[in-house]
Amino acid sequence: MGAVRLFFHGQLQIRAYGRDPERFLNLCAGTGVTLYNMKRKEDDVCFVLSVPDFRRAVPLARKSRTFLHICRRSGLPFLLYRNRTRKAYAAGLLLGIFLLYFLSHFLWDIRFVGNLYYTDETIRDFLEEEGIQYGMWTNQIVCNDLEQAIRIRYPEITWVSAQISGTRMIIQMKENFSGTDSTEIKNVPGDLAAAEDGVITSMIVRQGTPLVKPGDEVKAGQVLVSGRIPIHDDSGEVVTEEETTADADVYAELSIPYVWEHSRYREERIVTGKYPCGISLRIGSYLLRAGRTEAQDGTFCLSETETPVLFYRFSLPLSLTIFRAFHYETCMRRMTEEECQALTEKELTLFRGEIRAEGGKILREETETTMDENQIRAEGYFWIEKQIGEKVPLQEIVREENENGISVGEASYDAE
Amino acid sequence: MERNMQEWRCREELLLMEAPVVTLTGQYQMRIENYRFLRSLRENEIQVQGKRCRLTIAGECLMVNYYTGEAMKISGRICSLHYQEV
Repeated sequence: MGAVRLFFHGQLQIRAYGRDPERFLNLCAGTGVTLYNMKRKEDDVCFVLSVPDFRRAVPLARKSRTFLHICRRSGLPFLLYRNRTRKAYAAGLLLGIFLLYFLSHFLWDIRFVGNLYYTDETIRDFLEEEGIQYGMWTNQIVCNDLEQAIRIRYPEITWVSAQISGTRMIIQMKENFSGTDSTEIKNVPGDLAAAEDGVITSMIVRQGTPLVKPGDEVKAGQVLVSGRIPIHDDSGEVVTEEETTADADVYAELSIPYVWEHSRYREERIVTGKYPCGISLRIGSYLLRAGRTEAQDGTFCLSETETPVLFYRFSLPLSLTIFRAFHYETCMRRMTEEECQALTEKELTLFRGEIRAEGGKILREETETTMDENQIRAEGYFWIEKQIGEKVPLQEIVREENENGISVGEASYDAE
Repeated sequence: MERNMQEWRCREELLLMEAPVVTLTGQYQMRIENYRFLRSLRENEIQVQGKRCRLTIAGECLMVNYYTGEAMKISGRICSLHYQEV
């Protein structure tokens, strides 16, 4: 804060000498004058004062019989005074400020966050189709409309947010490629059948006739909840059947075998040389390239892109990418036991993640890892609990009269 | 919050006792408040007069970053701080 004040008010480097310079310093402090960077140089005291403070300090120096010598003048007032004759300099400064202000109304950078499936280029092309391009006025962009257009064009993007921060547009999105089945037809009468073998652990039936109960062992394809609801008369006979869409949460415990094999040898790249690097410069929508900017056989490229930003938010319409190409040779290396264990654990973690992503809950697991000279092998079983109901077309129920004369339904699942 | 309040009360008591408040940050920075005046300024020694005591700061390349009626900040390699009752 003091440095900013000194710059705008103008600062003076003072050398004070006399019989008692400390007295002068104390008088200054007592009258509200702030002294900066005060130090002794031989018999003199050097310090920095702002111009208004210097004017107040002059009578105090006279009173304490101290002599003040101005060593250096700096700060904005002196800078302006020194350059008072340089009209072009002032005009250039003003023009620069104006240009900076003017250019800050344009879009110079677009950032994408959260896209994994759709690449930046894909979405950038779509934005160009929508009329969003570098160098356009930011006032012309309606973020709400743009968000809606992205959602309509890419249904897999479940959430999107577009915002303009300075000269940069940030588009954040979330993609979802699981659980969206557009071929699913709702409100069509159907049954709920088991997708896999297992033992039912819990059932919550919202609609339909349950044909199994918790504790029952079911096979894949067996109907769990029928979409036919029998309507009985007073004598208990089935008068008619209402066809509906069976809807229930049926959880079952099932065991999944786990087998994973991998070679103990791993391909590794050894960098043997470095090629001259290449650069590419993007100015607006123009791209200039020089040198090696693409990987060839036996080489790989590393690129690093820098976009200059002014005042944290003002992205300039320039970006410089530096490419570094490396020549490599591949060789096979036998992994150590620790590396094998780490790889096995990594694969197991991935498998657990897949189970959880499918909505399964791991109850217990038993896996064993063996490794010989050339091979790593992990095998075992995972016992999980998951929802096994899947919608299938409506099946015919074969009804049998039991001892009490009440009909009991049993559905036969037809693969068709 | 409670610790801040305790510190504040302690500071208030010190001010009432007219004792100089010295805040030392490591070996290279010092802030002094509640003093009367600067007695002497040397490159290896600074003397500050408090209301009831005198502080002598010894060190190397000592410099006063700012000096006002309320507070002063000293930087440099501080070797010792000596209190002397007046």
